[in-house]
Amino acid sequence: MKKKFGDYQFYTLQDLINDESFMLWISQPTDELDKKWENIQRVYPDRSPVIHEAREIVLSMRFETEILDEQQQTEIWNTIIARTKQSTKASRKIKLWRPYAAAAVLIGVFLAVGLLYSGLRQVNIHTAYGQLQTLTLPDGSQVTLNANSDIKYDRHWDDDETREVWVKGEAFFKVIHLHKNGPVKNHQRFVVHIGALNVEVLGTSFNVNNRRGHTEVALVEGKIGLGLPNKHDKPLILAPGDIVAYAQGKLNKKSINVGEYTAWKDGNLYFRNVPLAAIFNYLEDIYGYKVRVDDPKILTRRISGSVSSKNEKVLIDLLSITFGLNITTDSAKHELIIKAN
Amino acid sequence: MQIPNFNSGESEDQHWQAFKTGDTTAFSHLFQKYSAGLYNYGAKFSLDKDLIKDCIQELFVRLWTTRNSIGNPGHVKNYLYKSFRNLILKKVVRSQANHDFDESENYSFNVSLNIEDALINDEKRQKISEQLQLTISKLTARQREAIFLKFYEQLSYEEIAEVMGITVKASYKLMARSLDFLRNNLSKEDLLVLYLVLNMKIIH
Repeated sequence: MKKKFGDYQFYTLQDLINDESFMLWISQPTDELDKKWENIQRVYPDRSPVIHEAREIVLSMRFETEILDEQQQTEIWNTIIARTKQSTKASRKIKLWRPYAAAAVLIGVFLAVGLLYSGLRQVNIHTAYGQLQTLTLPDGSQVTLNANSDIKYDRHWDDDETREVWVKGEAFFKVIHLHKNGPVKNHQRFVVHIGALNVEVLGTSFNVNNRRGHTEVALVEGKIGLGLPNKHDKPLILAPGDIVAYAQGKLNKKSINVGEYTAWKDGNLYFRNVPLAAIFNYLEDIYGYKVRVDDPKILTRRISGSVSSKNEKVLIDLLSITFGLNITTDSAKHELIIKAN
Repeated sequence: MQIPNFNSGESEDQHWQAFKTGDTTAFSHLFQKYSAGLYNYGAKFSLDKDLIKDCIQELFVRLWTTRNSIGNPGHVKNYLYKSFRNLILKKVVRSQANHDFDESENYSFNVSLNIEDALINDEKRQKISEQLQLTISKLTARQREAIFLKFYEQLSYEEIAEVMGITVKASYKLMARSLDFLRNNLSKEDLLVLYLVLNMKIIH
């Protein structure tokens, strides 16, 4: 049923929403489509009102999507497999996801600022103490890794594959948003596995952190669905400024100043009424210092302030001046010995 | 017609053919591709998540076990959605002895609009979304389902007819009624103001 230009003269709302080129123009406009529809309105100006009406209705008709997270999807798949009783040989299971490498053979080892290829398909990156690293993922998304952290992902993401990464430690993501409308396709999803959580995003900026058995996810921009381990509930939805902390099966959500929380990626640290115990933990996680304190009461004292994180000595000096502490560094053992003056 | 999928229709056909011959990778590919969309669709019929997941399972198990006698649907997606819809309705609608669902089907179909996300935080558009949400709740389940299939799944009237098991003419009528209702309930002022604003933009 080839369309003639003259058909547009009598176009109704019904016709418009059934017109592929119109729907495409609304959702994925191109110069060509812009020209076409501007032209139609120039030739048939009395179609303009209905075109605008249709446009507004379509744009306002944005449905909430019920997300089927990766874990549930895998569960369903496993049941399908079990019920169809695949008669494949021995223990060969039909894997839904691409099996991750236990490749015994390393094809070349590239060492460039901590970059390691283990197996043909995987990228594995580890940052040293005191080292920040920013990377570009296979889809162009950016991630900044904090010190003493790891990230793992497939070297190449297929066109119809969910984008997945595994993180240990701390990382800040700027994910490229691929989903415009309609059902969410695999490649439009982005999943970060951290600690016991699966963080599902469509495109957004956020921070993940997993230290000392405690996982935190903080959202800067966009929207996140947090898949919890053994829950069959809806994922927890975060809004910008929210942070969720998960530890020992308990979940805690609150609002914070995300600018300060994520400032580490720009080499700045902000502390708001933070106990010294937390700062010493930080020195250990990020710089690798074991901290020894003679008087435990010191640990409960609190500090607020900001400091550059590029050199930990500045932070240590700040602590010593603020609290009147005597801090000596044992380079050999990489320890900080802290005494009250 | 749909907005083009990432995979072209051709390779989808190949996947289908491969699956029919017992290719498990092709089968898993079908599952990966459609399970999330089916789940989202199913969630409109029922709040019972386990039931929806069971139906997805059931669908794919049947697909596999009957693969030797399945034909070649014009579009795999519509075929899956239609089969899935029948499965879900059977479970959700009680006491239906025969399998022919007619106009008086008694089922629910719930959608909610993403109001906060409304494009570029446009206040006017947000207001329209809120109005739409209210208005949509006044439609019948069938009308809502048609709206969902059209605006979210981007199906054509022919495809909507296929999935819902009605004639093409009936799908047009269904849609027309829904749209009329929407238009009559959206504040004419809102739309008029919007039109004027937009019109000015286009004239440069």
